[in-house]
Amino acid sequence: MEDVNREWLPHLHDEFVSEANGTLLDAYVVALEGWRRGLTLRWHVKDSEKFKDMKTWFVDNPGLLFSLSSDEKTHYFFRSRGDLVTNEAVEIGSDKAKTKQIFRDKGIPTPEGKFFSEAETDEQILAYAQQLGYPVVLKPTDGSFGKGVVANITSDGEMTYSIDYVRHELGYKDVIVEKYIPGEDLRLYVVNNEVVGAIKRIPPHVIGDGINSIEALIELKNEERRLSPRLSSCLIETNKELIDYVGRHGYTLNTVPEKGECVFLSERANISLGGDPVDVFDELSNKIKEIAVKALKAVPGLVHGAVDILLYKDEETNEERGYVIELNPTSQLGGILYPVKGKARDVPAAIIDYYFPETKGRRLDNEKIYFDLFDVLEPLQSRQAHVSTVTPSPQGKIHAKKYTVIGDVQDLGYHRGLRKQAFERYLHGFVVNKENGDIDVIVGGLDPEMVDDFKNAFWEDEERATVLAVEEEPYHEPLKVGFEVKADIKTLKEELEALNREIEQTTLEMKRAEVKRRKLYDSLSWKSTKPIRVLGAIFKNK
Amino acid sequence: MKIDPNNWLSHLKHLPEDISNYKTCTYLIALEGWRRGLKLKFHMKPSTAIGPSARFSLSDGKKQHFFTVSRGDKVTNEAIRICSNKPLTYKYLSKNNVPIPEGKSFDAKTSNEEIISYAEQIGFPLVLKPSDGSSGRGVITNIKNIEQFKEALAEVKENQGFKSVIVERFIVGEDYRVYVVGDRVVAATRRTAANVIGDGKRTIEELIEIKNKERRKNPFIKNRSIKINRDMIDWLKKSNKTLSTVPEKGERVFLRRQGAYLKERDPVDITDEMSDHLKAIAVKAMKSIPGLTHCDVDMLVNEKTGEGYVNEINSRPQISNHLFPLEGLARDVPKEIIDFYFPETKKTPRNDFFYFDFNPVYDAFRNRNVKELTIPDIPTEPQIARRFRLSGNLRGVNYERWIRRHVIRLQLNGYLKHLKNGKTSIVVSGTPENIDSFRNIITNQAPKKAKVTRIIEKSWDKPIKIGFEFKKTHPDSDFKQLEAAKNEIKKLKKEKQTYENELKNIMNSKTWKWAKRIQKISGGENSY
Repeated sequence: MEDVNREWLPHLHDEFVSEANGTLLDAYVVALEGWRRGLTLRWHVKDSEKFKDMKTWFVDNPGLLFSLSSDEKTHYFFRSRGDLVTNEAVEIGSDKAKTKQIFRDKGIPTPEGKFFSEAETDEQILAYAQQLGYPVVLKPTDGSFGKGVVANITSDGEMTYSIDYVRHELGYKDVIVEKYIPGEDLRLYVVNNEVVGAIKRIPPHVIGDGINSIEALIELKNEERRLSPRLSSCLIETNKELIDYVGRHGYTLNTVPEKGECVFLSERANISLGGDPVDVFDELSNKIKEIAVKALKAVPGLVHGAVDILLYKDEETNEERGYVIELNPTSQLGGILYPVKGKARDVPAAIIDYYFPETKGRRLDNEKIYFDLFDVLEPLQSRQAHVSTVTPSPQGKIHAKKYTVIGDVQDLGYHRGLRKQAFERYLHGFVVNKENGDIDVIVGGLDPEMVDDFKNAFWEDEERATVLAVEEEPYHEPLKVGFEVKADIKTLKEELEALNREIEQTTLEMKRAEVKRRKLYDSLSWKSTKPIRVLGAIFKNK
Repeated sequence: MKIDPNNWLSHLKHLPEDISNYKTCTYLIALEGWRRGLKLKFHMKPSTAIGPSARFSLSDGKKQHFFTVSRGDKVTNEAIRICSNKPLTYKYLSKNNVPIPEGKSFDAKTSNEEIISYAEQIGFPLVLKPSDGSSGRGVITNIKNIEQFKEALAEVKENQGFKSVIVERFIVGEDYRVYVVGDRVVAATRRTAANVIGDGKRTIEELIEIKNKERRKNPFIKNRSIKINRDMIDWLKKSNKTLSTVPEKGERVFLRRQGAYLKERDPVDITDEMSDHLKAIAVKAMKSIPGLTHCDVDMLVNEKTGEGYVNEINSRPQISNHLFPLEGLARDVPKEIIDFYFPETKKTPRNDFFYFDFNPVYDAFRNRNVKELTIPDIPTEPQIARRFRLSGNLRGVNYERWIRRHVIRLQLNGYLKHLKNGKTSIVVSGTPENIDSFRNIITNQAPKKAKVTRIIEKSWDKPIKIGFEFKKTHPDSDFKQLEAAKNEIKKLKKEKQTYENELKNIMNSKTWKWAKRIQKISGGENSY
């Protein structure tokens, strides 16, 4: 496997974000940054307050819409994008034809190309591709996550096939044809005319070890991706496209690549399709950074967002050229925050610096405190509440201790009593049962005396607990605000809900496996080999 | 005796279950304001005396008022301070010539001898109570002689740990709770000792059982059953009765001595019967405390002479006793309180068609990771409600997710429930146009795998809970469900593994490799 040479932000350690899956991650990291600086964090349901007027999508489930307030002002956010980005900017940013036009008008380098609307015929598109000269790229005007993008089309035959696939099979009628530029696929994040993070995206690939097959290497790579907050939802899928692709390069899934051999699995570098984000912030030239800043500036009202650039390196002159491919006003941040190689760059901090400059540098005991996203969003799920305000984060250094209480101490009433005692002392933490009958109680807060004093709390409920001894040790792990009784029925309910979701998922996977199996049995070739199998069986039995 | 729920306010008949004690009072006042279209927010307040979800605010966009249970911000902190200190309350009451029981308070420094000598001086029967207790805690009534008094003193000071006490004359009379808002009495409840009324057939024991069943239906006293014990048997013996006595039809049998077992008493509404003289005393009592604008006044009333004494003022009382009496008419105290805080909404029609669920608030504040919750505004457009009962195959096909998308888009409230008989019930409210769209959608569209064979539509007139809920089919215990879920996952994973293994075996088998060649020959047809 590849060397793990990366540096993630300690205050966005994967435990903090374990509940924030997929697109929830972007909202959560920005919200967390603001909340930790002492801003009031509120989560909203669709259309609540200013969100009525903001461009948002897929927000039936809570967790993507939030607001941050200081005493003076409130800003609203959809995922990583705040309300200082205008709706017009969002509209232009999501329309590749419009952005291309703007780039051309403002002299920003972009691959030569043309936009075709539904009215134009497939033949017209093909003719243009011929005129432009291969290789070309064909992509939908309003697609995202790399869906329907066909890169490196080298012949009329491939072009005809691709046009049919994108326009008729996938149904994207409006498309763009542009010159294919071989090079590195970069994503830069710009806040207020400054590049604050940059990654290159390497198309899905595996590196051989001389032992495992490509299929096994993919499995191993996916295991690793599961550990990353950003990549856990973007595993490499061994589908028809992938098999075709490696096939075209002379491999099958069963091929065992040599040690150190890099086998690409796709052309497309999108992280959601299995691409690897690698930090390139320090090595990036100013020239490229300037292009990114200029590109964002070209769209009025786009004060922060991501710019995708293709970096072309002339091998002879060593000259670098950047071509802007697209803009992304509502960008995912996970690639920059959790790169597979290199240093993570704190984009959430840059965004909050921009919206609330007065809180700049107010970095508290960030690595220690966070909040339970699930609990906070729950009332919004059933829409029985419209706005949920998170308990403020303690502003200052957090002191915490772990107490192990030995004795007959697993009565639920006793645990609830401890919760009350924690609240009386302004402490956060949790109590959890241990298998040997003892309990671990973690408490933390701003006042070390209160944390120390908590050891007296264990002895005060003789009716419900027999305490034999209390052991203590310092605690340096992250702490959620509030106090959780882990054995509580409510917590069990949450566990049940999680299990139910797992059932749903497993059922789906099970069905997929079943369908695959059935298809195989039904396949002509399988049936046609029956005589061979029967024969084989006869030999085996002998 | 049969409780007639018709006595209760019709708009409070369909309340979320699990609303009791302080939760009831908080909920009912918040509900009244919310149903008038005021904006409602709950604020988590860490406090040990009451639940963290007891604080809320109501706002009409211009002004906002904060409430803690039944007390709003039109009661000053000064008033709260006075009311929580009985000797101080008495001082203000007597200064304003409000009749109070003769008595004296003693601070922690006073010796027991001094207290005992005062008791002898004013004479028996007496009451001994802590100066700063609440809800009848530590109160000992009807102390008849010096021995009993010494015992009581030891109990209150040593066992219960109260430092300062009040000794006062025990007034033989009925216990009234009188709710005053502004300058008038809006509700009065007599708390009668626990009793049953005979039907000429059943024994006292059977009648108690029936009565307890009725009590459990009452949000105010549902956790306060009448418990049969030695004291009760002894008390009944005094009137030559036992638990197996069959009282005559209409005969009322008291089960407790008056003034004992305070929690078992019956709330009986007497708002209309209470004399103007007594009502005037209650109002005067409230007005004696600076900054107090609404409260409960506790009175001891001798119903024979018509004389009454004020013995406590509660600035944050429970109001449910007035709303859910066991006898008599319910009084709409929440309405009076909201009228007082938002007089301009007096004529606003209250939208009784909706209610909100309090449990999400309670749950959200439980671990204190949520600080505030905003309840959705009550719908202002005219709405209709329908119940659709669907037959077909709607389980395990992601029908719920599909429905959810549409109810959010069409801004519908209500619920979906898969019934035990295999059908699915969907209750929704919304504007007539949106209900039409919804009907159209569930009839003519559906997720691929869902099959709807029949839809029966009915109008729906029960109140609708705001939001959209997916109700559980089997109200099994959560633990059972947890076990079942774990087992199911195990089973599914095993099944999946079987398929996958089979698949792998095939792919690795020699014959499959043969098949592949044939595939190539036949043009790769059906390759996956």
